[in-house]
Amino acid sequence: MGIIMAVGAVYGWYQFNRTAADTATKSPDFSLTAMELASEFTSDESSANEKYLGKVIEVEGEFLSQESSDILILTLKGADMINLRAEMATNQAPDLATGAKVKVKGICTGFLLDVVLNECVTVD
Amino acid sequence: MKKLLTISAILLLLQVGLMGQSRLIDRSGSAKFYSSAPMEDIEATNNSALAVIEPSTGKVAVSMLIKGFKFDKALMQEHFNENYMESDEFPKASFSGQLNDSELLGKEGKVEVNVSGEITIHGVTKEITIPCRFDISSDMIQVESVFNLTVADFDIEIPKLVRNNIAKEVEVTVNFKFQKND
Repeated sequence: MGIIMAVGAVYGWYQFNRTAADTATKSPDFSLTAMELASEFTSDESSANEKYLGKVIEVEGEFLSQESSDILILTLKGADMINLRAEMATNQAPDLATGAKVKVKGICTGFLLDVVLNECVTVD
Repeated sequence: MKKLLTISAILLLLQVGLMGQSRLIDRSGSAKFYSSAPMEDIEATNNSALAVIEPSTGKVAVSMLIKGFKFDKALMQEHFNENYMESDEFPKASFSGQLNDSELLGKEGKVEVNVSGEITIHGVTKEITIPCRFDISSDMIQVESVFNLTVADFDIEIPKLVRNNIAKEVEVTVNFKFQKND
């Protein structure tokens, strides 16, 4: 009985304190190009939300630009002026030339002017 | 309906006006909220808040993804999304409003202006006026605002069990930087 309670307490403590899991260790729910993802959101945002919100997505696309203010953000080329905005999990800027092909994996948070992914890591 | 109005507000602001009015955009605005409570302080940051401002008219529109708020603790982030904000159903929070005196944006320097409009959170829209500190230079408009929101105003239900442990008021801080087009 005591052991069960102890296990319960440890589990509870672990759950309470757990930080966002490293996206690098998660396997993607979807794998597609930035152009395809952007097109899905522009043609039907509600369906795309239902399909992708909160899911781990691996996206391949053309590197457009990066910015680093509070965090590092990579922008990948999407479709029809809608790009893919990847908020990176670390501040280490990858060495990328404009136009280079890059693959990132992150959690889809939704669509504003671009499709946004959080906690992104680059995938080799 | 309100959601359509705010999305239309943003789209309207983004259309290139016939008079060539320039609208400025910031896709990397930051929005933080903070509330202190006996159990634990609650703090989260969003680094992809979108804002559009039209300096000639003083119109402003802001939109952000609820799932874009990052908490230190994963469990808190999950509760925030699943139980309180129901972000699968209401994925965005937005604001659409107007500077009380848009002429102030024409001059360089620091100025405090109130911005009035409608804020929509969790599907509920409220009228709000927030104090904003603008810092205008030749190439940039920066704006910062700190204001309070009452959780219950937006039909956000805090379960009885934790009701006394979660603060009823939340302090919100937003920060935007607009590069001028010219």
